[in-house]
Amino acid sequence: MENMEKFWKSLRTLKADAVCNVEGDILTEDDFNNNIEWITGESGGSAITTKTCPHSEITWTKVKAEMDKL
Amino acid sequence: MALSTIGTNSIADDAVTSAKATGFGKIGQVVHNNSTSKFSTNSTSYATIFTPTAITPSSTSSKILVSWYCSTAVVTNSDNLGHIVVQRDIGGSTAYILNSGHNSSMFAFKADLDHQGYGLAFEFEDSPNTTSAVIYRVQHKVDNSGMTMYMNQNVAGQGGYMFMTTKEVLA
Repeated sequence: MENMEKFWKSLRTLKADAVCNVEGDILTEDDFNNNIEWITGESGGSAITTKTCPHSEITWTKVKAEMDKL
Repeated sequence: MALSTIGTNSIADDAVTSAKATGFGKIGQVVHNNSTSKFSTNSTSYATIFTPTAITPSSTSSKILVSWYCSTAVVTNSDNLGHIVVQRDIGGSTAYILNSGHNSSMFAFKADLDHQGYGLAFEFEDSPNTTSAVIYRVQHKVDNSGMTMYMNQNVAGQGGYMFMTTKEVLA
């Protein structure tokens, strides 16, 4: 399974309805903190985003643990 | 009447206006941007993947010719689609253009079961009617969050060169 397939599968395992826009691969904590735009709403059709993960169920440690299982 | 020849060195630069230069090519300026950034999303709202440098028309009557290339792949949990749209930004005031298709998109993509993706290229002419800076931002989204749309790559992360060229076409 490819890296990003692992990321997306892990994300959905942790929180099925979490939505985000990701740049590049998520392989490190830096990637997790800097390369994910979390979608928190919509304005005029465009996503409202934040770099701070708004979901307590999702942390880099938990995502990595799920990815390592795949 | 005797004909005489005027050398180009005798013509002032500012004397050669668009009005006098009829019959020539009418491209006023070209702005080119490329990016190797790769994106993926499960967002059902449009999220930005490409923000090029602005082009500033020299006249309100100018048209802008926009050319773009990227690769894309959509992985689905259903028969739903991935979408691409162009958002025009003039001084922070945004509007979607060319978005009359399914689910307010410019293009809609069904899932590729081989996950190898498609090449996507488009070109369109816009009439922004301004002399302010104009940005043509490319965005993507999916129909439901169980899907994943990959831009500038296929599912394996292969690919990775997208570009946009904007040209001012003088009236």
